[in-house]
Amino acid sequence: MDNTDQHESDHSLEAPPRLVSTLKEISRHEVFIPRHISRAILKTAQEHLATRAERRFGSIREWMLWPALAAACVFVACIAWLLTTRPHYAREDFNHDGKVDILDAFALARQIKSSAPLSTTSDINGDGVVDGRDVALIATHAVQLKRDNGS
Amino acid sequence: MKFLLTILICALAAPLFAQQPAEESPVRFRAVDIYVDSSNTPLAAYQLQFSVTNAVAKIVGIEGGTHPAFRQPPYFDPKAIQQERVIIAAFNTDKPENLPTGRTRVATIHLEIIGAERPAYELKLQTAGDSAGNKIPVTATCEENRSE
Repeated sequence: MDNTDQHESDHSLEAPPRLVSTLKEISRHEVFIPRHISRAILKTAQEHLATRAERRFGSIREWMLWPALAAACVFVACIAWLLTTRPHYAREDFNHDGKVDILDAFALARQIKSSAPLSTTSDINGDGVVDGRDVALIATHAVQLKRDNGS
Repeated sequence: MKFLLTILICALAAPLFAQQPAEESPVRFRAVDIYVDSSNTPLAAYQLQFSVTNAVAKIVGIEGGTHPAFRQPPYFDPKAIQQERVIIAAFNTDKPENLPTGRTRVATIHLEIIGAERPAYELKLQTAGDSAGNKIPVTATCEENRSE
């Protein structure tokens, strides 16, 4: 049989009118499903879907566990480093404001004048005594002309 | 006649051979007063940078101010002498009532000015503090001392 003949035969294929009317009749009628069967189907479907979802998320959790743990360790290490590391100040930076100026010399001079106990770090020139010479050393440092930054 | 002509020529040519008068030296000295105005807060410490911006003057000396608290010459780098820039600073640990308030002359900078050009100055306040060592807002100005 050649293609032309088959094409013609396809056109000639028509369902019998009775079959067509019967099928149309079926779709009009509701199919009755008892309530207990409907519930059982629903329950089974829910259980099935829940198991699948749990399996999927469970695998994600496993995959995320180690990177999350590593990130937490890094975070804790950073916090510990920030808490334990003190900023480094110049020896002459007596008031710890990040720069050496006349206020550092002034702060030390005030402390010497008030007879408050002085720490060994105040002994700027390292002669074993905290006195006006240490103050003068800070002041001299404060007014020093530096060629690099123009201060 | 010849004799008179010779004398005349010699008289006219004399200025050409005469020694040229030395050029008057344009070097002169000037004093610049430095003022700090701390308003109502007693001024206990200051630090500022003074510079001549057009390079026609050199620093030759620095002296203290008028108020007893800052009468002593301020701290400065000796390397600044014969330069155009200096950082000056001073403090006083006296009681607040003995410290200056308002506009106070804290120092005078002596300059040697070279040439006829008028020097230009720049004053940068670096810090100032009250008697407790706290930073305070102040205004620093400078002006040429005309009395010299």
